[in-house]
Amino acid sequence: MNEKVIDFTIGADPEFACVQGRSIIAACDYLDDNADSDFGSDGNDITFELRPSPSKNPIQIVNNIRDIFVRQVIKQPEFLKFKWVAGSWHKGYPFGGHVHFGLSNNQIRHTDAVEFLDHYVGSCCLLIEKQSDAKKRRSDSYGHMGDMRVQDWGFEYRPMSSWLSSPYVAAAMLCLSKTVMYEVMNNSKFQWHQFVVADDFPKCNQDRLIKQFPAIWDDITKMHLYQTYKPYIDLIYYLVKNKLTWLNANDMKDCWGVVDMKRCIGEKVGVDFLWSRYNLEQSNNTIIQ
Amino acid sequence: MATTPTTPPTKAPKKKKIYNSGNFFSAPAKVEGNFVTIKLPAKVAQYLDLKDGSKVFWSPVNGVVQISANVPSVVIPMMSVATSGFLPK
Repeated sequence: MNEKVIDFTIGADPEFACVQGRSIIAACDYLDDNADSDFGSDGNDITFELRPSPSKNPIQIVNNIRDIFVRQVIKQPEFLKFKWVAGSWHKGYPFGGHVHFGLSNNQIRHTDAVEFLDHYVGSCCLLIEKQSDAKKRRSDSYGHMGDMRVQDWGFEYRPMSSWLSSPYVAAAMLCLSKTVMYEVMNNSKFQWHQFVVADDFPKCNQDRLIKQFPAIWDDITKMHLYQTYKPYIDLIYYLVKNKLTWLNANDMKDCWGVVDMKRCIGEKVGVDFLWSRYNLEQSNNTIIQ
Repeated sequence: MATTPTTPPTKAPKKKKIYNSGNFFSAPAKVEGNFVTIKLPAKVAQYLDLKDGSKVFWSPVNGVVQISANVPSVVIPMMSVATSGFLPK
């Protein structure tokens, strides 16, 4: 590792949709969106977009996301009656899982940073997306290799589809993003490799990428932060090796624990209590392995 | 009178009571050192409410949970899913 450690914040604005029966709910019918709201709508007025506070700790962002969900269903309980969906695409609408990096172009050329992310984060994302949906999302110029947007606070990495399907997946993708970029910023001696080509993104070329995966994973496990986030990042290995997608059989809101727990929780134990305990454990770094 | 040194009796592993009501479920628990290890079905939640301030282990991959052996009881809510819930390609 380099002598001077450079740490940085990451953030995200993942998208999802609410479905009722066969109909997709229009976000604009439920939200008076403004740019400052952490629960807003995407530019198409259909999909919902979360804007959790950035953090240097990717797990904190997962917690911030759940906090937003909980506050939203308290504010508008009708959201609990909808089915929530994330992933790549649903009923004509693409979902993005953009990840933000608080790094200026002076710290690292953004085009260079995105290239590293494509080979390690983008490749893993493609391998666990549902292939047919991933192709649909990237049928135009959206979500392709090198897709990024420069922002005042840094840059936005845009090829990933929405990893909001469960906190497990969210944690895995955010931790991997942080791990890769941390290595880029702090280990000038790391032996980087190239795995993806531009065609892999619009075609979601899983057949080609699965052959690359052992080498991709070998590199990831050598990165400095991998050991820190191993319990979370290892989910990617599990999904790829077992030929699973990041989509869950359960409703997304159940995966996030955003349910009406009154009927199944005892007198004194509430879901907020559970999460506050979890948050406390996280802040104290008391996860044990 | 001379006394014969004796080996302290080995304590039988403690059994932890795990609540099982409504959407809660029960799981076998094994005491190992300072921790109780519970092998959870993969679809079960990763968050535990412990009656004291005990540690929580969140493992999305193998569903193993470790808690302090001093905890008198554990409540496990079914509020999330892990590996078995993921859909195949």
